[in-house]
Amino acid sequence: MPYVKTKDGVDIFYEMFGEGPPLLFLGETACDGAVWKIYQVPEFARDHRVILFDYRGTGSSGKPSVNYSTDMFADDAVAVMDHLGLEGAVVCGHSMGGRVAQLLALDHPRKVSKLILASSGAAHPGETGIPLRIAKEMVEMGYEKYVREHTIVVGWTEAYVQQHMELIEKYLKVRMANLCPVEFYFRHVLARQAHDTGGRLKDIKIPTLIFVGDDDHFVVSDISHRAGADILTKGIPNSKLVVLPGERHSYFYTEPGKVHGIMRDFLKSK
Amino acid sequence: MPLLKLKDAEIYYETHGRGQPIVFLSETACDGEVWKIHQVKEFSRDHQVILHDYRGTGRSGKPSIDYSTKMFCDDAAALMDHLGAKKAIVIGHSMGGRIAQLLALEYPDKVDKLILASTGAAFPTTKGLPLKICQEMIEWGYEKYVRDHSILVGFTDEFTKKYPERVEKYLQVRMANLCPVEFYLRHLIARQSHDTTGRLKDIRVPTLILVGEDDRNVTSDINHRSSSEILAKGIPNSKLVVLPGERHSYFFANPGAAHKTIREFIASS
Repeated sequence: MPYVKTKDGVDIFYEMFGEGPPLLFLGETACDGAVWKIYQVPEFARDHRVILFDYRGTGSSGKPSVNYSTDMFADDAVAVMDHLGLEGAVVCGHSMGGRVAQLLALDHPRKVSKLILASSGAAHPGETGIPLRIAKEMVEMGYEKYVREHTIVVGWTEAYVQQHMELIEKYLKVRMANLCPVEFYFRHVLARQAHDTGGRLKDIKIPTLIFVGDDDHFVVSDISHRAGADILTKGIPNSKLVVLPGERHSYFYTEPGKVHGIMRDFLKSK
Repeated sequence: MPLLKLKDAEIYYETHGRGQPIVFLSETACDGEVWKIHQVKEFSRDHQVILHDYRGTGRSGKPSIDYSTKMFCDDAAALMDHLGAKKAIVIGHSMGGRIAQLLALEYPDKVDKLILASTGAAFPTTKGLPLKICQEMIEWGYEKYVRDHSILVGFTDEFTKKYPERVEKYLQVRMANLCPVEFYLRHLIARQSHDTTGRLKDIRVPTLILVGEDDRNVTSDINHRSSSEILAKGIPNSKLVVLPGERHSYFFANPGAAHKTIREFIASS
C-alpha cells in the first residue's frame, strides 16, 4: 500500500488513478478517501490524474492522539503532492475538505490551479469545541448509528431517501466500511469547528467553483452549508456559485452526473 | 415539594435544621441528594443546611438553553433571598466550588465564609466539551461513564477495595436521579468556561480550601490538586488543607477528617 511519511512522522495512505492534469479530492469530516472511488474516480481518471488520500485519523492513515487542525490536513495534502512531484492541481474539497482546500490555495498557492468548494464554509463563528448536539446524539444513539443516520438526514432530502435508498445504501457501505474510532471523529470535528478563513477569502485569487445543494439547510452547530456557501461566494473574488436544485449535502455520492458536467465545464474554462 | 419558581426554571430545594445557614453546592451535573448521606446529619444539628438541585438536575427544571456558573450562582442567590438566608457558610464541591467563588464575588453580603473543596478557578485550555469525556461516554455508555468515572476520580483503589459498600452506598444516591445526558453536557460546558482566575484577589471572606492529596486525575487540562494551589495563592484570606490519602469524593464515603476541618474553620474567627 502506498504511504507518505509526513514531517511529524505520520503515515498518510494515498492512491492515484489515471493520467492527465492532477485532480485532488478531499473528503468531509472524519471521512477517508474511499468515497470518491464510487463515482469520481471512474469519471475523472479517464483524463486526469486523480489523487485520493486518507486524512490522518481516518482509513488506513496513521492516527496519532494529538490535536488536529485543518492546517495540519493541508500540510498532509502537500506532503502527498510533494511526494508525487505534483503542482497546479485542481482541488475539489467537500464540506470540511473544502476548508482544507481553501488553506491549500492560501498557504501553498503553487500546489493549486483551481478550487472546487462543495458544501463548505469559511468558519463556524458561533461554536468552538465539540458541538453539544453531536455529543448528545452520539451518546444517545451510539457512534455508528449516529454517523449513519446523520449522513442520511444531512445528505439527502426525505423524498430522495424514499425513492433511492438503494443508492444511499451503496454509498453508506463505503462510508461506514472503515469508520475511524470515535476519538478521531471528534478530533476532526474539533479541527473543523476551529477552522477560520473568514478574513482571508479575498486572498484566494484562483478560479473557484462553489457548489451547494439548495436544501442544505441543516445546522449541526451554528451555520448551514447553504449560508456558508454564500459567505464563500461573497468573499472569494474569482468565484462562481452553483446552487444545485433539490440537493442537500451528498450529491457527489448518488447520481452525480449533473455535478460532474458542471465540474467538467469548470475544468475546461480558463 | 419545595420549588422556587424563577423566570426560566423551577429550583427544587430543601432545608434541614436551624442556625447559621450552610449552603452546599454539588459537583458537575449532580443534584443535592448526595449531601444527605453524611453532611445533613452532621451540620443540621446546629445549622440551617440548605440543599438544592441545580437547573438541569434532579427535581429542578431543565430548560434546553446554555448554562453558566454565573447562572447557577444567580439561582443559589435567589434561593438564599427566598429563604432569607444571610451571611451563610458556602461549601462548594468541585464545580460547586466555582459557583461558591462567584457567590462570594457577586453577592458578598450573602457569604460569611467559603469552603472550596476539590475545585479550581479555570480550565485554561479546554473551554468546550472535553474530548476524553465525550469519547468515554460514547464508548462506555452514559450511565456506566458516570459510575466508573465517579469511582475512579472519587476514591483510591485501596479505598474502593476495602470499603466497596461505602462506595456503593454513595453511587446509589448519585445515580438514583441521574440527569439526561443533554444536561450533563450543558453542565460540563458551564464548568469548562468558568474563569475566576483574575478575580481571586477580590474574594475577601475567610476561605478554607480542601483537596485530597491524591486528586490528580486530569479530565481536561488541570487536576484538582494543582488548581487548589492556584486558589490558595490567589485568595488572600485562604488556608489550604490537604487531606491525606483522599481523592475527589471524601465527603461521601470518608467524611470524618473533612468534617473536623470544616468545624474548626467555622469555629475560628
